[in-house]
Amino acid sequence: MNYQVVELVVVSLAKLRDFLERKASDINQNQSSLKYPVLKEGLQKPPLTASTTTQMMYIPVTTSGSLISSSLFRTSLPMGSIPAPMVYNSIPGAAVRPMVYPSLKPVAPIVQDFSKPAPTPQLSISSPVSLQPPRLIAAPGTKSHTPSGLDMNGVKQSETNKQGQLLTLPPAVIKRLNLTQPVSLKINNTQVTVPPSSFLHTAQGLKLFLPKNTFPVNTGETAKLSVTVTNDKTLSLDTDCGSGQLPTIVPNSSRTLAETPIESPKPRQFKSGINPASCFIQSLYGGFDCMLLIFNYLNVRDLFRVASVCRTWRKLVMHPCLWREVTFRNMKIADWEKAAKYLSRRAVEILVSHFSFIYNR
Amino acid sequence: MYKKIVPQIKLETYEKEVFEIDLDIAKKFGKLVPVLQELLNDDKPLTIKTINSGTLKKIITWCTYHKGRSPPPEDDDNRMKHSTEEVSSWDDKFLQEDGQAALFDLISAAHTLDIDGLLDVACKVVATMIKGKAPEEIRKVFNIKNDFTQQEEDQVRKENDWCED
Repeated sequence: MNYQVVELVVVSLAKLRDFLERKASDINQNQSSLKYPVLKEGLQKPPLTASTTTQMMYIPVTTSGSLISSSLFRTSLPMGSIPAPMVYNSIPGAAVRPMVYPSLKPVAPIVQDFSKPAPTPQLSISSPVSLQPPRLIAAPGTKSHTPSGLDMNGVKQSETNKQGQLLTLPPAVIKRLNLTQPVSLKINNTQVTVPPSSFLHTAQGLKLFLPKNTFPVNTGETAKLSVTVTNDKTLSLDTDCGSGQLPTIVPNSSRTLAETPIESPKPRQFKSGINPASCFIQSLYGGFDCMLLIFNYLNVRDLFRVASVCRTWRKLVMHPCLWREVTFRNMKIADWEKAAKYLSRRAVEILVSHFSFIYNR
Repeated sequence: MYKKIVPQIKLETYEKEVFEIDLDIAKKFGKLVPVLQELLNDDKPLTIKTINSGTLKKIITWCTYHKGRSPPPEDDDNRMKHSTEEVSSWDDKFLQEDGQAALFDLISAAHTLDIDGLLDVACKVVATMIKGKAPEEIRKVFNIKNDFTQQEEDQVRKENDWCED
């Protein structure tokens, strides 16, 4: 079967070569008759034979129709190496015309260009470069707020996709807090727990990013709120902010970080304890060699559990090197047909099974 | 007074700190073996930017501890898959005492330098952290965000449900 295919290819190659040769000679004929007539004089004609009719030469000429230097041309090409020039008579209808390369521009302007100094590319400095001082941004998309509210502009707020509120804490309070632990706030009898990932360290002090409706929306800076900040239930201080200075509540302040957990008043999500910022195993993802080495020590059941952890891990579990050798040990197969299908899809080469456990049950 | 000269090679870490490593320890770094002779004659340290000083210090400690000990024989029975039991208690404590970040740094450094023994042991330790845990527990251990949609999660479960827990 393979043999036939090979033969077919050979046949078609031979045909293709024939075809290409014919095409090439056609093109040569057309070109020579239309665009590149051959200069007859200045070259020694070889004796006219029938086999030389398809060969031709291209001779560089200027627009004026004469050779650049016919004597030079003649001496630079030894006669023996010149392919036989095409015989003028062999193309019917072809005549010696003024030689023009159709695609070439006249030479003179180019020469002028070279004689002049090359034009240096002008740097566009017409508009002065406005260098803005670097701004310190606490977190991507965070609206840094001054108590006077001067830099509140609508643009930044409109580009947000997550709304929230910022609570600024006075430095005296921050000093007594353990910032590596979640901070729980008691605001008007509402309990809010803020994780360390929602702390923003700014020049004005520590700001806490809070979910959208933690406070009544229209509380300005002069709102009177009783805020109790506790940390790990060991510290409790009352900051009654009647003065309007601190703590400051910024309504509708925003944050675009998608992975910021938006906390409901019930601190339910913290109990799961997943903080993507401290996912250190991601440092092994480059190249995935190390991850595969780790997974190599897992059995089939663990691989399945690993597969449902996240997308990256699932793709890793599919890697063929983990499935080359599969050992069934202490396993209970619920659906043999499905198991067989799955293992054949994984291209398992060696299947080691210890069935005694299953049969003993 | 006669002083025994121990041949040393110099390695520069990411923090531009230069470490002098004894030759017999450096021989465990598989990647370095081809260039060792050159490094011995050279006074300039070899810079390895992907490794930080703390990790290299730990690697040297590990290699020094295991220097006298012969590696376990490399026959097929010993290198069987799924065996994570033979991690010694010293290794286990040594690898886990600095937290996950240091452990994973150590793994990638061991992979970079091609230190087989350390890489095996460290991967076994991580595998032990994964073994026998439910997906939700694994996510909690490694702080991995669940990025499956509900539909994908169902699909994965359906694919793998022929094996009962």
